[in-house]
Amino acid sequence: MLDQEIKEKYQGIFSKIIHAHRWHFISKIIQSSMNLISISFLGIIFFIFVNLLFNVHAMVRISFIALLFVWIMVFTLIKILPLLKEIFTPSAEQIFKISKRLGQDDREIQDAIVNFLQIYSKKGSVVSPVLQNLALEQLYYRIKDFSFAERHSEKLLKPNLRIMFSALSLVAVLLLFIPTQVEMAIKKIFIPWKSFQLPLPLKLYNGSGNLVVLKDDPVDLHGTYKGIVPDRLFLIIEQNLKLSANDKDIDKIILPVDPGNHFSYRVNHVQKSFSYYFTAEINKARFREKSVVSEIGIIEVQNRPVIRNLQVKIIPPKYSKLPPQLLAPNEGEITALKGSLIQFQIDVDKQLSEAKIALSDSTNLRLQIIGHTAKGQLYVQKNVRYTFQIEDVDGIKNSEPIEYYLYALNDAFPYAEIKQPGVDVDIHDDLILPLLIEMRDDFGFSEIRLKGSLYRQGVTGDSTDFEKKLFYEVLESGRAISETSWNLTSFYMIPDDYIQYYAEVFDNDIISGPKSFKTKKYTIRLPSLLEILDETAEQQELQLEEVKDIALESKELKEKLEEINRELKKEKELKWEQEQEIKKQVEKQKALSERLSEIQKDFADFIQKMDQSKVLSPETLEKYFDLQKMIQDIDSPELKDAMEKLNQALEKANMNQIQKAMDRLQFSLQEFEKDIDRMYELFNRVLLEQKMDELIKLAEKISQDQQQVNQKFEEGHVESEELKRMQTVEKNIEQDLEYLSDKIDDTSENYKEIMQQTSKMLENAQSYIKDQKLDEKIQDARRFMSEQRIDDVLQAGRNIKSDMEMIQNMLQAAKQNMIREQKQEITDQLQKTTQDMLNSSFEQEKLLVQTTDLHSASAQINDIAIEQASLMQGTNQLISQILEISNKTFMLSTTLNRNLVEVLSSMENSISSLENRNPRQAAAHQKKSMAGFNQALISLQNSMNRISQASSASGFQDLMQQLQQMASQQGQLNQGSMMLLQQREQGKIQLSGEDLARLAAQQEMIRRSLDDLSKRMGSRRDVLGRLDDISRDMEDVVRELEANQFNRKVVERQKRILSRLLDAQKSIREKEYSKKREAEREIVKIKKSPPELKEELLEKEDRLRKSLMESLEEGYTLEYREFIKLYFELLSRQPNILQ
Amino acid sequence: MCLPKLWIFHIILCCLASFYSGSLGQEQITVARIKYMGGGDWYGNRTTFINLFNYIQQKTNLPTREREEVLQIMDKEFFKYPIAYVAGHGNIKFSEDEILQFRKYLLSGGFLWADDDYGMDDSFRREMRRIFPDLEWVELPFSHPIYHILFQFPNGLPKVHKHDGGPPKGLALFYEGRMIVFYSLNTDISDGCEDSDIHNDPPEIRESALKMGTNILLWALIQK
Repeated sequence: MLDQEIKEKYQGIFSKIIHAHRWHFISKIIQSSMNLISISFLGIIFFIFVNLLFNVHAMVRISFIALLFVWIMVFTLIKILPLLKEIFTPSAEQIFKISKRLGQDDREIQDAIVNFLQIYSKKGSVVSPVLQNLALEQLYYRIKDFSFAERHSEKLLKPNLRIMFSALSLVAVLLLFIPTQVEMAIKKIFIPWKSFQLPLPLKLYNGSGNLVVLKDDPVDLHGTYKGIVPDRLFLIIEQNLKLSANDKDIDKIILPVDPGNHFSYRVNHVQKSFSYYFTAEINKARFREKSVVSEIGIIEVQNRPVIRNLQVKIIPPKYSKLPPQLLAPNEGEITALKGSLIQFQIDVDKQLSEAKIALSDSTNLRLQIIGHTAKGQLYVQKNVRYTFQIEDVDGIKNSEPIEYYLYALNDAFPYAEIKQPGVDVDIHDDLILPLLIEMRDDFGFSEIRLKGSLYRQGVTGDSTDFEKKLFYEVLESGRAISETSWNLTSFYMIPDDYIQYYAEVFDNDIISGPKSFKTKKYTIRLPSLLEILDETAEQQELQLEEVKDIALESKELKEKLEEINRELKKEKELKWEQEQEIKKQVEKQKALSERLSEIQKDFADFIQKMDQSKVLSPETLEKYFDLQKMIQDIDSPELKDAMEKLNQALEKANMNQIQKAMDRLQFSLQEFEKDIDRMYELFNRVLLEQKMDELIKLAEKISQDQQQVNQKFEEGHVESEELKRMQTVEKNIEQDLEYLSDKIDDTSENYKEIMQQTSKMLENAQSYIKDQKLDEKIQDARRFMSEQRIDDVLQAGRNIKSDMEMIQNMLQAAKQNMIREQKQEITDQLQKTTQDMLNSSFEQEKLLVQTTDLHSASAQINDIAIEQASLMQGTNQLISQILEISNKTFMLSTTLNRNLVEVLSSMENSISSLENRNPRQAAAHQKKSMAGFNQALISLQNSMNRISQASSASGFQDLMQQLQQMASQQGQLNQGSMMLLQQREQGKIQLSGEDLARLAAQQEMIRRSLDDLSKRMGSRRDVLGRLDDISRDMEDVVRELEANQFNRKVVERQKRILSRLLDAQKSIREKEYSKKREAEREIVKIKKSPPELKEELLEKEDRLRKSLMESLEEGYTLEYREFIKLYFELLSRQPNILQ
Repeated sequence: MCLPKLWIFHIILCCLASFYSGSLGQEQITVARIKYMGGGDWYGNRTTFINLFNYIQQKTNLPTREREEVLQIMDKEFFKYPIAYVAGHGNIKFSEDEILQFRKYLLSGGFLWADDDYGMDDSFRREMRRIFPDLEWVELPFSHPIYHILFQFPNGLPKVHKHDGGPPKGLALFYEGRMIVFYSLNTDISDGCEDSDIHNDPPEIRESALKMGTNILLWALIQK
């Protein structure tokens, strides 16, 4: 028990000793470590100083670090490790040492502790355990209250800490003053392998730092430097901030070095965010490859609002009827008609707070904003430039907006052209002028007016202006025609009065106001009848001469060909000269045909003119138609064919064929010559008959003029100007009468030989003029007028009118007599010829019967042949008779002669067959001969019928008059309908049922008139052609109008009715004359070729060459001439020298 | 044009075809579309020359480019193109420099085909008057070879689009016997040559436009 207790006590003391031992060694370790650190730290501080002072080579630094490391390792192994070992495995020796040290201050305690340890450690020895225990116990009680804690540990640490603190303080001071260098020195020590440069004695400062700027704005980057003046300064800009360093776009910009320490750079248009810094370099050798870098700054770019999409829509003004136009996206150049509405829409990449269109005329158009979109619209008034100015919600505006142009197109001026008549014209007695005006405009019309002035004869400066609105019909957009029959009656024109007129068309431009265009001015003149007659006479004289020439040349040509033909019959081969001669004659014949064709055209013009002027009677006009047709027949297909055949034969050089062709041509030429002669005779005869028409027309004209004068005075008060005009008219009447009197004398003289009775009647008319002293009466009337004796004027005027009507009747009677005489003469001759032909035909039939029964050996053959020859002679006589008649009338067909020629030919063949004793063949020819007679007889009969009918055409004029009246009524109705339709389409009026009923009634009235006329025409209805069709069309129109269906279709139908009525008039004329005529109305030829180019336009005008030639002709010396040549050659090589 | 002359033209045409496609060079027919100022739509008729060149290739075997080149008169390359083309609906304006340059071009052998799209007439005539104050427009007769060189147009220019109504006009400026400008007015040949679905012209109208366009280009190339 005691042992145990002692043991425990002993263990307690021992533990305390061990504890103290451990603490002691821990302190030792700490002290050693502190020594190690202090020494190392001092070494490092020392080396820092070395590095601060010297550029220590890397190897030295590595060696230093290596030595330091070795030192630490060695120190640790030698000093620290044994101490550590002692802590964990304390040695007895050390324990005793510690024990001794524990009692250092108290000797007893020191001994007690040592004793205690010794006793205890020798417990098992020979010493009595009791003693040991007692000893231990005593010792225990002595040292049990002893503190075993180490007492001098602080003393161990303090010196080292002081050293370390001093060293660190030194480093801190250095860092404060030369931080870079110290930092660099530290780095050099701890990164010994790295090569370190010397720091530059320069510092750069970034003055701009981080900025936020707007895209496209400029930004100034500036800084300062401290230290020595750098040799080179750079601004480094790094784009693409988000990318890695290697991927960044780096711009290095050299900056000027300012001795004033400042430097800056302006980026004019910042586009993207970027970072930047400044760097500087010094040229000194020790700083080579060294640079100073400033702090990095970042420029953040904010985008301005940008228009992503622009859409422009052009809505042209309504009147233009143009469709809206959507421009291509982002197309801002606008070309639009004035008055167009332009709608803008822009899409912007940012939310907008404001948007407007700034116009170059300093006005702005604010746009309506919806988020990123802005809209607005404006009307085009003039050319203007514009830009879009926008501002986003951050107040940022767009920069440098694009300037667009807006071009305002003007509505073009309208254009009009008077297509018909399109030339200056002489108006005819009907005083109706068909007008066709073509109008063009880009967008349509508002109205067309016919304007002009009437100029009175002989009164200087006396003119009256007039103006009337015309209707027009729109054919297609921008094109219309105005078609009207202009009635000039209201102008009361007298011969030599004239009208100058033009059309003025207005377009439908409601934006700038209707623009107008005036057509070229044309003149309408009322020619005097005398003028027409003189002109006609002259023209006809020329034509007659031409026909005579053709007849003569034709005769010569025929004789020439006969001569050649005779020669050919002697030759076996065609000589070259003969061939050329034949060809020459054929060409001549062609030329004659062409001249005839020209005459035919002249006739056509003449007929049209005469028809319009109503100078000639329908009967005479009919004869001119016949003449015209006759020319067509003269230039027969047979003749053309014969010439063609001859040409072909000449090409083949076949003598046989040439001769046959020549024979055939000769025959055709004979016919040609006969026809030409006949035509000449007939033309002469027609001219004589025409004189009678002219006399009647002239008398009628005088009568009408006098009636006009009388009417004026009967109306009452006559103004002095009007009085002068009436005097002029009366003077004209006097001249006309004088002319009439002369003409009656001439005509009477001309008729004396051929139509005595008619001539006598004309003499009577002349006597009447003289007996009644008409010329004196007219002079009296004029005198009364000048004396303003109105009643006397009236009385004289009435007398003159009465006398003129008498003369007119007398002339009319003379003409009827002339027709009767002519008809009688021709009818008598035709009847005689018909009778003779019938006799011949009977004779031929008799011979045919005899021949048919005849045997070839019969003795009667010769007798029959003789009879046949006699009959042939009679037939020749017949042909002569017919030729004679045909020179007096057109009623005989030219085929009649040909039929008889064929009869003659058959008879000749028949005689030949009889001579050859071939009665059968002879009979066949006789049959042909008979057939020919029959054809000729039929032809003669037809001619007689025509003559008979021609004289019964007295109702013709009346029929024409009625049709004209109907056409006029229909024309007025159509104009009314068209006007109502246009006004309704333009929304100006609403048509009531009553309006349509009125139109229907008018149409029905015209229809009934037409039906009446149709009934009265009876068997002659056919001349009216499509009369029934017209009536049916009218019925349809009436029906539709009654059903309140009034539309463009109805108006079109009415136009067709009018057209057919006019056609019917033409049809009557054509059928009455039995001739075809060309349409009166001029066809408006929209497209015809421009004239050929002038030759000088296509010539290469070598002006240089000309100049050269001129120069050379100046008489220079030879040497000088060479110089001139050289000069021009050089000039000519230059391309634009001729400019 | 009389028949022999027509044959001569056809022979020249064959020679031209062999020249363009043969060993003498790989020149391809094209035109320079003039990009002008003034606001008019110089850029219209985008498919005209694609179709026209294609048509010329098919019908004549002459090599053509795919489409025309867009150039300004002052461009250096402008003189490399023997045929220039101008069209539009709006205002045309040439600068003073362009006036001089264009005159030089036309007098040096260049040829201009102007096609009125309806609306450029006034400004075009005005500008041409500035370029050639001394020359007068001449309306070509229907007998002119330009209407007969390959395809026959006995009635002159075919009518493609209505425009002002009335007949189309083929006008020209001549200088020393050579046609230097051909101006097709009141018809719109270029529109006629466009893709069929653009203007919906009837096939025969479109065909006539392509034929006339071919005639114009051929005439520009082979006229003396």
